[in-house]
Amino acid sequence: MRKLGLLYSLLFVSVFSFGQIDKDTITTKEVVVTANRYEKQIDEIPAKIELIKSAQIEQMPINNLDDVFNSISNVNVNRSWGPFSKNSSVTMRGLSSSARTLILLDGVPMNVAAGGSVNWHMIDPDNVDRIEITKGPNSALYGNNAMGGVINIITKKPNTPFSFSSNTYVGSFETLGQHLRLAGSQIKDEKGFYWGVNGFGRKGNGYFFESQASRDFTDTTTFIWEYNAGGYLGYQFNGEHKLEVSIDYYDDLRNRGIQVFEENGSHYKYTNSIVKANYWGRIKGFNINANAYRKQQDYFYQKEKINSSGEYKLSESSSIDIDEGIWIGINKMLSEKNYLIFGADIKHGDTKYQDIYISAFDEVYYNGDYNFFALFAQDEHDISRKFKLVSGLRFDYANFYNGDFTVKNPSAATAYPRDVYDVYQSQQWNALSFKLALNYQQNEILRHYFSIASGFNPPKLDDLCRSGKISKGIKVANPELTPEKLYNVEMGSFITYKKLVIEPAVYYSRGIDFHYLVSLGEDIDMGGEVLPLLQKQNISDVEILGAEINVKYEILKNLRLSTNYSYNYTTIVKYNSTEGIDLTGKYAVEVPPHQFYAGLFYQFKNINTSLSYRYTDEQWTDDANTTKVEGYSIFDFKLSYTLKKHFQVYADVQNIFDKEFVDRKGYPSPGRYILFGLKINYNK
Amino acid sequence: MKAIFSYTIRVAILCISFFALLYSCKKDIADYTSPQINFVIEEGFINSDTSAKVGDTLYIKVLAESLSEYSLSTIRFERITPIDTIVIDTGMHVQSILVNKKIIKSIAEWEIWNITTRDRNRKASNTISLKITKDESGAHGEISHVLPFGLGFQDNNEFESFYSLSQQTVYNMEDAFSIQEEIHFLSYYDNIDEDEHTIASPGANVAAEIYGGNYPLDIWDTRNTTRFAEPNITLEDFDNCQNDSLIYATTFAFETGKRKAKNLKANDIYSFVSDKGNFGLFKVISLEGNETGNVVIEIKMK
Repeated sequence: MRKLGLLYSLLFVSVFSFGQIDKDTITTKEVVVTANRYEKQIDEIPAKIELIKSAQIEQMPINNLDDVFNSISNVNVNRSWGPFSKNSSVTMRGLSSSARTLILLDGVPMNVAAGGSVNWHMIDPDNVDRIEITKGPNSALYGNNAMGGVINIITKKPNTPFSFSSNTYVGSFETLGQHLRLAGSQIKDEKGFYWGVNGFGRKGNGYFFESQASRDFTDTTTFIWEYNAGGYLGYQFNGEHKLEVSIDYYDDLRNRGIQVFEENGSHYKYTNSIVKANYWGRIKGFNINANAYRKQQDYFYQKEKINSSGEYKLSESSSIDIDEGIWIGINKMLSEKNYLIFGADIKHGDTKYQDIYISAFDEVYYNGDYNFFALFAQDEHDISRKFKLVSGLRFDYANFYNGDFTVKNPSAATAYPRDVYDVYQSQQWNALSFKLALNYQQNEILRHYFSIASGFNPPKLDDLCRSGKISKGIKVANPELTPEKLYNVEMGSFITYKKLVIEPAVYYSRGIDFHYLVSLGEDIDMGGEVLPLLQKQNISDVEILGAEINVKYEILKNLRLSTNYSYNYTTIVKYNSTEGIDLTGKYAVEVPPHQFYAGLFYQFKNINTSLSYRYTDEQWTDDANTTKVEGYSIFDFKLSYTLKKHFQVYADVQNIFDKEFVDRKGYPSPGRYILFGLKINYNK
Repeated sequence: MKAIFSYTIRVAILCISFFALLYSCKKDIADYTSPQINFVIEEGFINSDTSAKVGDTLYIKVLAESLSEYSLSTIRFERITPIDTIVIDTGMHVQSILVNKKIIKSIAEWEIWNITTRDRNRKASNTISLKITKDESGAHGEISHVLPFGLGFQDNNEFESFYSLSQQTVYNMEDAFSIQEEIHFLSYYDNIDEDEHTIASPGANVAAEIYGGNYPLDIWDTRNTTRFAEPNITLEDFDNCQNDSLIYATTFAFETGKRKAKNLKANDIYSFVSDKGNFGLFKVISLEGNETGNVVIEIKMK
């Protein structure tokens, strides 16, 4: 705690003097829904909130929505192959793993229960109205995954009878893309239908991982194709009730840079669908928000290669993950000083996974189901004009069942001595999450907050059920794995002085029972490759000391500067295993200690331009801290020109200086990436 | 209300048309005939059930052919005995293949060989089989007995570290480099992967730091691989072994063995098979020291 106080003093003292000077300030009156599960002004929320609006997204040079987070403090985006990446991981607050950040799309959780990952490709940046980021644990409202924070992506809804938008672009690596959106609203006197359809398609030839000199006939480019289609239909009954149903579909194919005999070589393929229904209503002073959803992700990975002995290897891995749920939140103003929200969440996750070896006869299958039931309540209490207290509590109960694991016809490819059929006992656990946060509005310029909160992350179905080869060895299922927990203390300030906004925050987190791969002390020879037997266990405690500071300044009427710095020191402080290397004192993988971003945005008449710089520090890539990827600096540039209101031409130059960096497996980034595009917008 | 209805119908038609388009393109499945596999009838190769003495070498030749547009993707050789089942899959991408397989009759009373092929389609496979029964009429074969000798670890100045099964001689690194084809064992102490006292072969994944100098393993042209397995036998069994019956009983398919005998302790017994066909058993007599130490072993091999 002393370290935390010292760090905060350093960040805060430098800006505190602004609080004494001038009353001519700008106050933030933006409203967000994510922090409390109901609409609330940002400046009344005792937490670090970031709001990104569609106009800002349009000013940024991005390929995929997650690229937006490169400009946000304490959010780490790992997409080293650019648009050709199989997927991206977005992590927050010094915690690695996508599963530790909850991602919502219009309030529906996007993390797959089986592994916690999110398919960022399926979200069309052109269809996003705003993104709300709540930093720090928020399991007291959202339950699992909300450990590092919550990111809620809210899509555009029409407010005119008819609107049309199109975005067509061409770019490096023979990239071609088209986005379309049609929408309309017939709401009159708070009553009527609204609707929208949208879709996008993109293809690109990609790039080679290997240099020309070291390529062989199996090397190919990381070519991709993808498309998405979706639509929604809503009806507003009156000012107090609204119902909306929507559907989204996504399909892609991404080559891994290797092709031997198969038509698409080694490639990944995701097919995602989401069907959801949302209801907003007001009954007898109670505001109700309920949503029901069903998501399905079909994953397919075809792997072909010629191994070091010259033997051809071909296998197919696939999974079907189905997540369903009903979330209900009811809020009511109890008095002028008290606001209450309570509700219940029910979720179900189901996974069916298989590895089929084609150049051998081995077959591996696993299945598993999760049920979650949760009750929560949060109260917001105005203690005085200056102090506001938020206290929340949530109880989650989870049940893992139908877990089984099967191996048929094993050979050296899977290294099982005989057929296997294991049925796992069902497991139950629960989690109690809390939040206590205080908001102090010192004056019109200065606001402070202090919060204590907890978060948890359940075991992944993959870790509970699946045994098989991973990059580090052979992973053995652990059906007795229990959730990871995190306790966080943080404080922050908001200084808004004239055209300058400064937002420092510091935090200390203690993670308990974190999941780490532990050596079981045995090796398996996989036909020449000796691999250790590993198992995920609740083995370690981690400590995170972190800080961030955002500075936004309107230099001139049309010139805006946005900059931020993040610091994270994430170490393993306890490691309860005698097997393998003791990880006590080791730094967490894939957490850059330092990150810096600076963006300059300029608008003059019909011209919009931005220049941004970001630095990502070096990161360890293995638990034992023996290998790391180097830090890197990237400059991006965007220029757009609007013609006759409806047309806009633009140019994106990402990684201007063609800086090459590698990911944790040593694969290089695509380097400089240039896009030219035309946008058409029409509103009637 | 009419306008609302009209809008709903239009939006619904748009959505249905879109998704109908998405799902309309399905690839037709072509006519399909499963792949064939047959024994080749040729002098010197067996093609039906037979009997053989323990240790006899038999040869089979099989022809596998795809009869469809799909390439053959694998051939599996599976040996089933009353004691165990051993499976070896080989991946491929060819329309037809001719495979020769050498079989050494094991100590088992009988063994069934199933040879299966399958194509990329995975819809069907074909299997051929033969049974080899033990011929009891012959006597057991003789073995080579190498009396206990020392193998030094990487920094040992007294004992050399490279051993040739065919020459039954220990060599230093420079000499071993000059007769790479004959080197089957090497010994070292590994504190990098915590394998500690280890016997491996030039073809194993030995950390570069262990044997550096002028003749590091990664510049060798020929790196023989020897694989190891721990048989379920006692010291008494090893000491009483006077003929090849125990060696046959404890040998294994090369592909199924490990490339290192590591974390060795005194009185450990390992069976070994080299990629050149040498096979047998060794016993650890004693161990001394770490990088500068040595291991003393005794070998009985076919």
